[in-house]
Amino acid sequence: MTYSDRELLVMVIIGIVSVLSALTLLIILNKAWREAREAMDRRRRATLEPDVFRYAGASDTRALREYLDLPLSSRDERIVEAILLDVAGLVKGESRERITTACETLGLVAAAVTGLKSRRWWKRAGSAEKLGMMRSKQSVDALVAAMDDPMGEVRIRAARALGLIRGRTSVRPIVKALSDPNRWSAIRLAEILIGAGEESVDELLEAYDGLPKPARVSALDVIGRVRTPRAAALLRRALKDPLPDVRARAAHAMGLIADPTFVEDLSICLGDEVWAVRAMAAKALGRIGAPQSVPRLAGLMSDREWWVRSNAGDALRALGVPGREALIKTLEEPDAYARHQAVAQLEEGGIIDEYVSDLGSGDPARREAAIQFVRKVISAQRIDRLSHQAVEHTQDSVRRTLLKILKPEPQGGSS
Amino acid sequence: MTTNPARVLVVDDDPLTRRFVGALLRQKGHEVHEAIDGEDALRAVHTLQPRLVILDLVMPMKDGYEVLEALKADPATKRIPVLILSMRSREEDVVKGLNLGAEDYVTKPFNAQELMVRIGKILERTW
Amino acid sequence: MSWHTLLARAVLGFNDAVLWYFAILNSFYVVLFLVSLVEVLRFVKRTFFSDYEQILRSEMTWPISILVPAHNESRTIVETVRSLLSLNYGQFEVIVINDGSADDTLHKVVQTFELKRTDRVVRKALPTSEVRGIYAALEIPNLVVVDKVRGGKADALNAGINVSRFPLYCSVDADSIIEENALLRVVKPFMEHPDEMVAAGGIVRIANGCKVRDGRVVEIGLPNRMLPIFQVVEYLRAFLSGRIGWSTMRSLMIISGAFGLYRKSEVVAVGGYDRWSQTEDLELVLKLHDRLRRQKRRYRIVFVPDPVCWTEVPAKFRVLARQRNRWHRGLVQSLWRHRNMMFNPKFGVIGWVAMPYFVLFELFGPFVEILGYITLPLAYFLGILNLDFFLLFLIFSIFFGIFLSIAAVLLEEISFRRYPGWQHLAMLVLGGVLENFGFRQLLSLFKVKAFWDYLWRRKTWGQMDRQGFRKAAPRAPLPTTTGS
Repeated sequence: MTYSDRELLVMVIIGIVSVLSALTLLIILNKAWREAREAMDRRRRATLEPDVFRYAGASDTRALREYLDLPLSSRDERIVEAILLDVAGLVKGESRERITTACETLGLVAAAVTGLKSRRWWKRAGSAEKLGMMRSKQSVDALVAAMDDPMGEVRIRAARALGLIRGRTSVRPIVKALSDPNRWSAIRLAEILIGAGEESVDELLEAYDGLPKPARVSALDVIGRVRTPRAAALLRRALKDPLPDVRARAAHAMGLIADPTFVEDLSICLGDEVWAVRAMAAKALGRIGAPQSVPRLAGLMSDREWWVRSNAGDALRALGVPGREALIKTLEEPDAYARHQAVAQLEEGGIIDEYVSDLGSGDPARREAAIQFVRKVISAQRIDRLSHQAVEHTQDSVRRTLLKILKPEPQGGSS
Repeated sequence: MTTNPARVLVVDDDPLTRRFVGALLRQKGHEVHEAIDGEDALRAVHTLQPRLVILDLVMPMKDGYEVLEALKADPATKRIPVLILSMRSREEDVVKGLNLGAEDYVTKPFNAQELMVRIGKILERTW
Repeated sequence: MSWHTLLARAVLGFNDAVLWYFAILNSFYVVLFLVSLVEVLRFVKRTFFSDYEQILRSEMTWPISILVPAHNESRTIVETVRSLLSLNYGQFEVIVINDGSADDTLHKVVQTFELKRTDRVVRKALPTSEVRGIYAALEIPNLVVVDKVRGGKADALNAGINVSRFPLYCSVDADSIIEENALLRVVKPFMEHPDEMVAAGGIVRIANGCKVRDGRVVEIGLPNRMLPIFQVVEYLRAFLSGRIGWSTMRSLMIISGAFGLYRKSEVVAVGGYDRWSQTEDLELVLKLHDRLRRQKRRYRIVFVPDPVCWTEVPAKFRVLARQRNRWHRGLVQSLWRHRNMMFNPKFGVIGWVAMPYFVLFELFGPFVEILGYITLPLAYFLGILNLDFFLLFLIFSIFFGIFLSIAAVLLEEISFRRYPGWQHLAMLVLGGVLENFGFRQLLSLFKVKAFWDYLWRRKTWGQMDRQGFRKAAPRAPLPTTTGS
C-alpha cells in the first residue's frame, strides 16, 4: 500500500496516542476520584457510626433521629443507611426490630420502594436487596409487584426480601413462583422458603396439589428441611406418587424430619423398583435410627445399584449394635460388593480399630472375639486397614497377633 | 444493673463486628480493646489481662478454639472468662466451646441487648 | 526478472498480508474487549451486597470434592492442604492424589494429619494406573489421600474423580492458593442454573510479589521483575478482556487447570481427562463442548470473573519457555483432534468463531508475525522499505497492542481493583506498554517453536524445577488469548 498523503498516517498515530493517553488519564482520574470520595465517606462514617450503634443496642423508645444531633445531608443519609444495613446483618431480635423502625422513620424504606421502579435494573435489584435487609412489612406489596420484573436479578432479590420479611402474605407469591420453571431457579426459591420457616410449610401444604412436578419436588425439599412434623400426611401421600423423583424426595424429607412413625412407610419403599427411591429410603431409615429396619437394610447391601448399597451401609452404621452386627454378618456374604461395603463401613465407624485393639486385651474371651472378627475381615479380602494397623498400632502384642493372622497360612486367605 | 467498668478484649476478624460490639461495651462504660486474629488475641490477653474476652471462632492464624485452649491451659490466663460470639451454630460447635471452658456461647446474628445482659452477668459472677 | 525483483515483490506482498493480519487480529481483540467490558460492568453491578452468605448457609448448596493432584510437592503440600481444609464452604472434601512422587510428599501429609490406610469404597468410573492405597483419618472426615503409581496429571485427576463422593468436583493445582470464598463464588452459577451448568472457571491471578502466609495471600503486590510483570498484564488481558468475552459468547474453550469446577457426571461421560494431552484441561473442555452440542443439549460452560486463585508464574526465561511450549503443543494437539468442529454449524459460535480464531491467530498467527519481523529488515536491506508502511506496521502491531494492554488495566480498575496502590497502577501501565516491545514477540517465537516441535513429535517433557512457593512453573495452561 502506498499513501500519497503522509499526513494521514501521522494523524492516525497521533489519534491513537491521544486515545491511549485519554484512556490512561481516565483510569487515573477515576481512581483518584474514587479514593477521595471513599476517604471522605470513611471519615464521615466514623463520626456517625457510634451513634447508630448505640441506638441499635439501646432499649429506650428514642428514635434514631434523636441520637444523631446534626441535620442529615443526603450523603449522610446514604452513609447512615449503609451503617444500618451493616448492623442489620449482625443482629437479630429486638436490635433488628429497632433497625427496621429506624429505616421506616428515616424514610429509607420509602426511598427503596421508589427505587423499585427505577429504569435501571441494577437500581431496582439494589433496592430489592436493601428492602430485604430492612425487613419492613411496609414494603411487602411493592416487593410482590417486583416479582414480576423482567430482570431475573430483580425478581430473585425481591423474592428473597419477601422470604426474609416472612408472614404468609410474603410467602404466598414465592410458592406461586415455584410453578414457573422458566423464570425462576427452583433451588434459590426453595432456599428462600426454607429460610422463611414454618410459614412456608403452611402455604406449601395448601398449594401442593396445584403444583407441577418439579415444583412438587422442591416443595418436598423445603418441607423436609424445615423439619416440620405437620406434613406427615402429605409426605405419606407423596411416597406413593407415580413419579419416582417425587417418591425419592418424599423419602429424603422423611429422613430429615426423622419421625419414627415413618419407618413403616419407608420400609415398603425399600422394595421400590427405582433405585433412587430405594437409596433415599435407606438413607432416611438410617437417619431415623429404627432398629427394626436392620434386616431389610442388610438385604439391600446386595442390591445391584452402588448408591443403594452405599446408603444401606451408611444406615446400618448409624443403627447402633444391631446395625453393627448386621454389617459383621455381611462380611460373609457371597456378594463381593456387599462385603467390601461392609468392611468400609465398619472401618469408618471405628469398629475395626476397636476390635484390633481388643487383640491385646487381657480378657481371653474378648481376644478370641477379636480374632474371629479379624478373620472375617480377612476373608472379605479387604485388608488395607488391618495391614496398616499391623505396622502402626501402638501396642506390641496387638501388632504381633495381627501379623500372625495376616500372614498367609495353608488355608487362611489374605490377598 | 450497672457493673464496674471493666477492661474487655474483643477478638474478631471482622472489623464491623469489632466496632459494633466495642461501641456497645463503651456505652456501658467499659474499656475496650480489639484483636484481629488468633495470634493477636493471645498477645493482647497477656499484655492487657482483660476481665473478659469476647471471642470469635472462625479467624485466620489460629481459630477461636485454639485460642480458647491456649488461654485455659496457661495458669496466667485461665481465670479470664471467655464469651464466644460466633456464626457457627451447630450443637457440636456450642458444646465444644463450652467444654473447652467458655463461659457462654452466643451465636451470630445476635440480639445486642441480650448480649449486653449476658456480659453483665459474667462480669458480675467473676468479680 | 532478477531474483532481486522477485524477492522484492514477495516481500512487499507479504508485508501487505502481515498488515492485514494484524489489522484483523487486533480489531477482533477490540470487539472481544468491548464484549468483556459490557459483561464486567454488568457483573460488577450485579454483586453489590454479596449473597455468598446465603449460599454458605444454605443446606441446598451442592457439596464439592476438591481434587489436588500432587507430584513432588513436598515443600508446599501440607500448607496447601491446610488452607484448603479451611476454605469457607459448607460441605466439601479435599482429595489429594499423590501421583507417584519421588520425594516424601505422601509421607508428610500422612504424618501431619495422622492419616491411616483405609478401605474406602471406590467407584472406578474412569480407568487409571494402579492405586496403591487410600488414606484417611476419622478425625478429619473430609480429607482423603490417594496414593498411586505415577501416571501424569490427567491420570491423577481421573483417580481423584473415582474416589470423590460429590456431584461437583473442583480441580486445583497443588501450588495454587485458593481464596477463602472462591468456592462460594464459583458454585453460584450452578445454583442459578442447576440443570444447565456443566463447568465453571475462575480468574487466576499472579502470586509473584504477593505476601503469602499459611497458604493465604495476605498482601497483594506486584512482582519486581519484568518478566512476571509482563505476565500480570498478559493474564489481565487474557482473563478480563478475553475469557469473559468468550464466556459471554458461549464459547469458552479454556478453563484453567489451576482452578475449575465441574459436574462430575458430565466429565465421566466424556471419559475424563486424557493422558496423552499436554493440556488436559483444554482437551476436557473441548470434549465437553463436542459432546453436549452433538446432543443438542442446553448447557453452560462459563467463566466467573469473581473467584480467585493465585499461582506463581515463571520468573526465569527458560522455565517460561518450557511452559509456553507445553501449552502451545497441547493446543495444537487438541485443535487437531477436534478439527471436526471447525466451521461446523452444529457447533455454533465455537465452530464459526472460536475455533477458527484459535487456528488462525494462535496457530498460524505467530508464523505470520515472526515472518513479518523478518521481512521488515529484509525490506530495508532491499531498499524497498517504505516509511509509510513501517509506520502502519508499528501502528497495527505495537500501538494496538499497547491499547489492548491499557484497556485490560482499565477493566481491572473499574471492576475488581485488586491492586490498590498508585505505584501498582503505574507499574501495570508501564508493563502494558513495554510488553509490546519484545515480550509479546518472544511469546510468538515460543509458539512457532512449539508448533515445530509438535510436527516433529518431540515429546520432551522437560523438568520443571520446584522451589517450594517460589516455584516457577505452574502446570495449568492459561491464557491463549494473549494478544499476539
